[in-house]
Amino acid sequence: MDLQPGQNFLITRHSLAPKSVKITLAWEPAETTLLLRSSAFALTSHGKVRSGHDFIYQNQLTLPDGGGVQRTVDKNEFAVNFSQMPITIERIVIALTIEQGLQHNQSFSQLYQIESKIFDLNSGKCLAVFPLLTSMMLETALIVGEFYSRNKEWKFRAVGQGFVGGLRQLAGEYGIDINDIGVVDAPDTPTKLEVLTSSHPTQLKKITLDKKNPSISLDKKVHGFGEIVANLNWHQRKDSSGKGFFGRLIQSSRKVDLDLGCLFKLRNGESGVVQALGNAFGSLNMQPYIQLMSDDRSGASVDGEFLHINGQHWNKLDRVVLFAMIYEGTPNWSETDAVVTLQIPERPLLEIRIDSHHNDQRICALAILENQDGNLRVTKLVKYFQDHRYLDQAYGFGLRWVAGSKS
Amino acid sequence: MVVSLKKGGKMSLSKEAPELRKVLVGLGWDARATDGVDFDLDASAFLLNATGKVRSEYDFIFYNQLKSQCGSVQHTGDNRTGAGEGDDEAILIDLNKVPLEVQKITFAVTIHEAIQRKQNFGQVGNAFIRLVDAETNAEVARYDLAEDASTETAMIFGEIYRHGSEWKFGAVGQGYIGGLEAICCNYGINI
Repeated sequence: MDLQPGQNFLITRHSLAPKSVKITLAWEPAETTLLLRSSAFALTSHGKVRSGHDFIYQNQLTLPDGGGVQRTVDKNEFAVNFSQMPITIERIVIALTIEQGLQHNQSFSQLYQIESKIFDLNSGKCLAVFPLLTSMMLETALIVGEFYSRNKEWKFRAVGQGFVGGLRQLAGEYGIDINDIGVVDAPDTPTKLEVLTSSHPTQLKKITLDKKNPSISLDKKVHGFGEIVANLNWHQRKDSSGKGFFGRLIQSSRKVDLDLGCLFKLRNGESGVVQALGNAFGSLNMQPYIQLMSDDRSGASVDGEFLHINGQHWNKLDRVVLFAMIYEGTPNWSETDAVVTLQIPERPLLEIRIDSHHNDQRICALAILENQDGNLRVTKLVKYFQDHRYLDQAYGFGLRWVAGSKS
Repeated sequence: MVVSLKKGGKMSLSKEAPELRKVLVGLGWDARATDGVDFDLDASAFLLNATGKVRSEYDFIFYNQLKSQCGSVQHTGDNRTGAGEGDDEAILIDLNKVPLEVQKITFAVTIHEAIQRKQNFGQVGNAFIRLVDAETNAEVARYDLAEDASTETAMIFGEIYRHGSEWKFGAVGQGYIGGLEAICCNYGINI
């Protein structure tokens, strides 16, 4: 059984029902720089611990009075034994926190998902799986789920809610001051308010699409996605002008010029291209609802090239393949250090680095944006093609191509 | 006496509670403890004729239209966070004032912007909707939404309806896809 956030299920009841269960926590990608800590809180009917001893973590593996809850040494696993549960304990909260997450500007959005599994301890049978997609979560402390007693039976609820402020805030909610029990977390945790009132909420977090996480799916909104801004920026790898780091940042004499463009297909079957070549700049308010904002032929603009997609009309689009093209000169991708970012209102910034290079090809497919039942799925491509025709063939747009030039 | 109704159960209010004149439908939930967008649950009522439709949009009682034209149905107002004890929103019905052509009053509970906020009843702490005799405070029926409707975002809670000269209550407990808009549409209101 797959659980969704908010869903509950009855564990005990019939005579064959489990007397004890095990919950295991795992995450993807498994290799992460986040310091993830699992813990459990045993709560009374008031939703609070009896004392700090009801907080189960790596330095305190069991409850003071019996084996109702037991953490496995060095594993993110908790055994819950209902028959040995102290009578006043009615709820066991299972949590996952990022140690020092706020200080390091980390959050669960850096993971793809957290997967919890519940097993019958006697038979070893898996009773339920709770896959929680975390790519939008700015929290650093998470209530994964909770075992709770209701009408003298034990149930489990998948929760998937948490706190930006981390373990301190989570523990505080259950009546524990983590200073009192000597848990290392955040000595001077910034408050939630400071984080949320940042003037650039969309820039709060950045998600990099890479080999491990090549794609992300953004759920649809009633009024679409707002104005989606794709930016292609690049600079030369080597600072030959001797202007130092700052000079490299505002590099004004790029030798390689990149053009940003896209192939699009609408839901009505029409397809085409938006690019500077042939002055096909598109339009935001009419088909194709995509517009190339400026062609930076000289490479003089420090901000690179921008392509806007009117996300309010996302329902009319089927798919968009963003590409970069080296129009003139020798294609020298490895010199460009190009980065594509996608800004979607109220969403974390998406970043794609062009990190593999084929210097014999002129076009690089950067990313594909797909309309999947109204949701927006972005997948990193970074695949090279000799010209538009091969790109078109690879992604099936079916256009006719003739040689053209920029006016 | 309290009759605990299961999904689909019916009871005669006139028989079980002959003194019942004022009925209160109460909706309650806990304010969000974790970070994120507040949970905003809304209670609403539909005054329906014999064909199961509203006579006009004035028969839809909700946070933007708190009172029916006949005055028999009164909404206590929108609570957007669930802060406070007990019922956070309530709809009060004075049975004696309900116009004759209104055969049925249906009660719905929905989560405001549930899809955008990715919320369901199970994510809300202690969400419930209940039917109470407003004069004696006796509870007649209750759903614990967080338990029984945990993955839903909209539900028809129940209905009070005329049966001959009696008033009856039916516990419907039916989840709805598409939120308040879909429910409105079903009763003949175009939003």
